[in-house]
Order: sequence, then structure tokens, then C-alpha cells
Amino acid sequence: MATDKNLTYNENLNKKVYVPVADIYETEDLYSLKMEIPGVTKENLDISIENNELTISAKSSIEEKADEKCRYSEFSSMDYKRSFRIGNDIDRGKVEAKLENGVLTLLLHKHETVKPRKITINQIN
Amino acid sequence: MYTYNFFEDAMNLRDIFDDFFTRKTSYEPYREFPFVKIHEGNDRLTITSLMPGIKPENVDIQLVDDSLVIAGEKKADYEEKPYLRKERFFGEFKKSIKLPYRVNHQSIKADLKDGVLTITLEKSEEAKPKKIEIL
Repeated sequence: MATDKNLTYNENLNKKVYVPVADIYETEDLYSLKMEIPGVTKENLDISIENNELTISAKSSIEEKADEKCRYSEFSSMDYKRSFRIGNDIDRGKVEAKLENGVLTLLLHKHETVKPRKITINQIN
Repeated sequence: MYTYNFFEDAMNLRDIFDDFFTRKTSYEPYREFPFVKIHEGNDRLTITSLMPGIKPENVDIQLVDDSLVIAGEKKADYEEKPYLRKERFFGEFKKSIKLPYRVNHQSIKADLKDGVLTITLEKSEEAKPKKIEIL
């Protein structure tokens, strides 16, 4: 879950593809990833894991009204994409995702086998 | 008691270099938060602003003279966990947008959905062109 692969622009589209900012923390059981993707609804969000690569891509659903002219703009219509390389310690089948107020939270659970385990000592005698 | 840890500084330095060379974050960093967009059409203004992770109760919108002031706070949601990455910004913000004309005070609508704030303003009657008849 360390390196994030560098990101490319979507060549066939004029739309810019933004790299959303992310916060990641690791605990004994899981990795948590928080990402800011304003303007994205559940339907336009795509999260996939393929070959040790976690990819989050999303389309913004901010509508542009045809009868309105743009007067001033500090951001353009956004698509988002970001990939992370993930290790084998993550259980591919146990990923939880939540989208709230434009913030995506991903919980990537670790495999049972890599979680720290306490070994109890059996007392003989 | 604070123990100096060289590696912490080294990591900070690494982050600074990484940011400088590789990071292309969302939005344009030289603009002040929050990022806005103004659309105009048929005596109507629509201001769109990106506000991920901000709750409606933490945003304060005011009409001051001919400017619209958006102020608020983005509260940190950090937990007591070892972070591998911290890229998001938190803190207070305030931004004033000068409106091109006077707006109707009664018909201002603001809506915060999916991290996007949309404010709709209507041109006030006084600002509309008035034809003057020659007697």
C-alpha cells in the first residue's frame, strides 16, 4: 500500500483527469484510505483491484447547463483517477467503501494470516 | 519530553521533494480554497464550489454589499493512527466573491451535495435594464 503509481491523463478526452488527495493509515487489521472526490455520486465511481493495483476512477456529476455561460472558473470539469500498488497482505474480497459528502473512505482488510496473533503458552504439569 | 528523531525529518524532506516533483493534486494549488466557478445565464448566477468533507452547518454564506462571502471550517477527521499519507487540507477558510450585479436577497438558494456547494442568485429588479419613455 505504499507507492502510488503515477497518473496519466486520459488521452482520448479533453477532460482533465485529476489525482484526488488521499489520507492513508495502517492498523494491525486494515488499511484505511480517505480520498476527496467532490461531485461524484455512487453510480459514477469505480473501484477495482487488478494485479496488485488498486484503481479508483470517478466521473464528476456536476452538470453544466446549456443556457449558462461560464464567467469565472478555478476548476474544470473533473474526472478523477488514482492507483495504488497494494501488497499481498490485503484480502481482495474484504474491501469496504463508503462515500459521504464527497469523501470516499475505503477500508482494506488484511488477510487473517498476516494479522498479529497472540500465542498462548500451554502449561504442562 | 521530546526526543529528536532524525528519520522524521528525513521523511518530511522526502515528502517535500515528492510534492515538488511528482504531485499533481486535484484542483489548482495556487488558488485559495474553496475553488469556485461562476456561471451566468438569464438574470441568474450560479456559483459552484468544491467542498469535500464539509458539513452544511460548518459553512456560513453571507451577502455583504455586492460580494458574497463564503466562510467556514473544514474539521480534521484524523484518527489516532499511524498515517502513511496525509495529503488533505483542513482548517478555516474564507472567500469573498464580487458579484457582477445586485442580486435579489430573498431568492438566494444554497445547496450542499456530494461535496459540491451550489448557490443560485437572481438579479435584482433594480439591476435590470429599464426602458425610459420619452414623453
